[in-house]
Amino acid sequence: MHAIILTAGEGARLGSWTANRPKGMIPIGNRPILDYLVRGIVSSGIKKINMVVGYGKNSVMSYFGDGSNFGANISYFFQEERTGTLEAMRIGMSDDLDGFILVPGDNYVSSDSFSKLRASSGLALLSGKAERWSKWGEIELEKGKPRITFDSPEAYQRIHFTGIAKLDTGVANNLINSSGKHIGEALQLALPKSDFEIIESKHWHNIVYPWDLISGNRMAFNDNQLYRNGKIERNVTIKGEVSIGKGTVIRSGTYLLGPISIGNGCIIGPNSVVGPSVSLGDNVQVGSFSEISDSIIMNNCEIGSYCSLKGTVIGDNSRIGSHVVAIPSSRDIMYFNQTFSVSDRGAMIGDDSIIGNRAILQGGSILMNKAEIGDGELYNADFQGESI
Amino acid sequence: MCGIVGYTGNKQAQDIVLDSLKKLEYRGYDSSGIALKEDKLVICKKEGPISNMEEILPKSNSSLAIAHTRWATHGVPSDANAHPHADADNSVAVVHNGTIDNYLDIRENLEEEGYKFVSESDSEILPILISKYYAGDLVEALHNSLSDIQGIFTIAVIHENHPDEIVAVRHETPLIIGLGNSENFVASDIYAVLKYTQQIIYPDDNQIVRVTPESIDLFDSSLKPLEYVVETVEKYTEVAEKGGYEHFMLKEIFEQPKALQDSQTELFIDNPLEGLSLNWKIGSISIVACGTSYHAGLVGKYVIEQLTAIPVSVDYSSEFRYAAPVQGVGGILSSRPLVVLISQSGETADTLAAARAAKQQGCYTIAVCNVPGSRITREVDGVIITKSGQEIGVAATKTFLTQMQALYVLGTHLAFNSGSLDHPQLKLWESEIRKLPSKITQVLNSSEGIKSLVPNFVNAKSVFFVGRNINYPLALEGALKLKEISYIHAEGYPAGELKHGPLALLGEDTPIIAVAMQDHTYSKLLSNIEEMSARKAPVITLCQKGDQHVPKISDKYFEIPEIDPVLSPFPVAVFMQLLSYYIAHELGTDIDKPRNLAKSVTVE
Repeated sequence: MHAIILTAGEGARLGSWTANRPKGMIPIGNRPILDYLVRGIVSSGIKKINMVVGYGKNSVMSYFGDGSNFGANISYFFQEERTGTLEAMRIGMSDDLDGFILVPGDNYVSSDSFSKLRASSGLALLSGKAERWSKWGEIELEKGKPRITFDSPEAYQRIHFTGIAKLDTGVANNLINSSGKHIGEALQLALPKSDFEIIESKHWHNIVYPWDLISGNRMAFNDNQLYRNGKIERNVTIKGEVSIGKGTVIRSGTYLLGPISIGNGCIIGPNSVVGPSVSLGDNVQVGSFSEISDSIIMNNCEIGSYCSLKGTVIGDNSRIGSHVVAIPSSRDIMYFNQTFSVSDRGAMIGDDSIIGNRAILQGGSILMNKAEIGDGELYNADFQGESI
Repeated sequence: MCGIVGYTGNKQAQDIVLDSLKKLEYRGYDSSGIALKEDKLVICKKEGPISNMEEILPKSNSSLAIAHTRWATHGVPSDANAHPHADADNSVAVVHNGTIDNYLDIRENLEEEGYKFVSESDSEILPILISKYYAGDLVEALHNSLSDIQGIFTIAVIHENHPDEIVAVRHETPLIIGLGNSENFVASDIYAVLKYTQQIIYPDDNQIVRVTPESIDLFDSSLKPLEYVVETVEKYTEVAEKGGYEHFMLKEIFEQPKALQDSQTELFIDNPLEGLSLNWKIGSISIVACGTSYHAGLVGKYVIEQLTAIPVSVDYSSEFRYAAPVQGVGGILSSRPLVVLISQSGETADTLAAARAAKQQGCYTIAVCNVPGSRITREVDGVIITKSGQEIGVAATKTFLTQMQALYVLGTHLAFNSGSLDHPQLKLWESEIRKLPSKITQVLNSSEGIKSLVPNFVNAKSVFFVGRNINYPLALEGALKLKEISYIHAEGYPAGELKHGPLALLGEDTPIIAVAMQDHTYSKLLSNIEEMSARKAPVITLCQKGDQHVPKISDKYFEIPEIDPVLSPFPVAVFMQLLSYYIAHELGTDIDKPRNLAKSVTVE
């Protein structure tokens, strides 16, 4: 049994966060989305992984190598043109393939999903509870037979297809030769002809928009890998699942409430409060008396003193001054001229940004790469971009 | 150079030894060979890469084997000159790394005694000597042979009468012993055995070691038994596989952000510099290295001088070790000179010898090295380990960046000690250095732009790289990268020096890479570009983002991310590496194994 992971796409709706990396390499719970998929696949007993890469392929190949650090045997296939998921699957179908699990690389699913898929006897689709519409479609059962539909206006909490499926080469070739434009559509056409079992995933998160990273991050902590390195000074309180990387220093008086994952070479505190659901990348510095919860802070960020960050994403290499506030407020998010009702998000800040001292970023603010906010500014502008 | 492995244990030796040998292919790939124990000893060897030998190798169940991959010094690469060498009746097989200086005399004597030779290799005298002295004990036979030979060597021997025994010795070239479970290994470096064990013994020079599956016996040079120390080495997570990349070199170029970051954790958090007693008044600094490491040293000179105002000289190891001791640096100013030795492998013969020479003259020595536990780290006063992981491509890439980074941090540390940097300034430097991984990631992300420059070079007769100040060494490094992997002739020059000679060579078929950063040499460099353009040479300029002038006067230009000019060598180096890689790729050369070269140079 193989797995084919499709991770050649760009993920344009994530804006800034995919400018320097493919979507699957965005960290949630301090590991790239793809990391969860690869480990989940391996723990189900599947070692052979065909990875279809394209956009930002080098960051994927550098991270996973030949897979031996993950207990896998990874081969790479290249999709240089953006010709869609069906074409990607075709590229990833090596000659030695028989049955395989197809995995689009931009979904987070709990790792047990793969064992369940693998244990199923024949063809199978992995379903999950939806937050909103995705390109994969809704699964409906009609006389016990699954059907994929795209017609219900409501998606929230309904059973949707995750894009992850167990296929054989025969069915896969039928999908490729069907008139569908992508895998969801092709399956819609092919389903009546074959018997598919529906397998339910415990957690599924389809990451499409920047604020999805926050909910993805919360969910990813279900798979938190615990490690404890670095130096922990006196009078540090640690509760819950807290991972601390190599060379990291937790300064005195700091309060860490898990789940938290902290990378290598970070300096936290003294007297900071971090957690729950916080992932800090490598080389992150958090100044004294700052409080961070429910957030993703990526590599090489510097956060000053007395900051309050909640529900916030900060991209690589950003500098956040002192007394900066980025916490949720009760308003909708405007993104690419659409309104989204998400009330528990702080600010989403792109790579290489500089936020001045005493800046206040209202909930739902989205700042693209290299944003600069001056000292004392109140930022509440909605994001207006080219439509996608 | 050359790589050696040996296995004795309870498993089939052949596959294990071949697998380990491939990890050593960076040490030479002119020919390879293996000796196994069947009823008699069986030797199989072949010119060319290991895969050539593998093709003709019959399957064997032997649980004893020694093998070798060769970088030719004495005698051309050929089947006959390949190792292992044996005596006339194949009772002894020997693999050897190094050179035997007095082999001609010994060979003449042996020939007079009636022994026959089949190769031109200096190593062939070894099995013949050992066979001649053999009287039932292989350790004694090797010991007696050693008293005849002069040179540098690592030798591993097997004998048909000792079906589970390998005897080995080293003299100035590397040898490690790996301890397994009812199996043991000998090898040139730890990478060859890390897959099987992390328990390592490092024998010293002239100690003879006898290895069997269940025992290790170590003897000093008069065959007195010695105690040995077993060290546990860190398991390297990186593995010697290309992981989707077409070449190791490209993989390693893309690993640089991680290599820098891992090294930063070492430098800033574990801070090896704090353990060094560097707070005396240092009167002078010498940086000593070979090849790409030498260029890292040159960059280090500019940074350290700028930061500390201490004079820094940079020498090639092979020159430094034979230079006359300079009066005054140590003695008269009574300020102990600091000597910084840079060696990726920690085994580079000339750099090792330079370290010893420096210590003898009473200098304080620091090694910048990528292999913990390697020879040089055991001989110097202080060590800065770069965490690049194993580098397989012969052309150095990630080690260059991590070496430069180590020197920058050393510079700030020295400046802080001497009072020229205060605490906040030191912090500022640290925070700027911490941004390097992201800066070079931006260059890596624009690799397509670099690729598009390739057509300017494929038909070039010669390529000139020019820069000024801290980017002059980058011109040298750019030229070295290009010539070593693409075989296009290239030269690096200080931009102001072209008019003192090389301008005579310029024309349409000699493209120029100029590095124009906005530092105090910027306006001068712009005039240099005009000079070169006037001779019809196409000029491709690296400039900082948003540069107004360069695009107007250059044929092509490439923008590096916004960065303080003093840190520009990092993104510039990545540009040079990628450009050379893409040119070589277009020309179809063997990028990871350029002809005539090997990675770690353990001969002088």
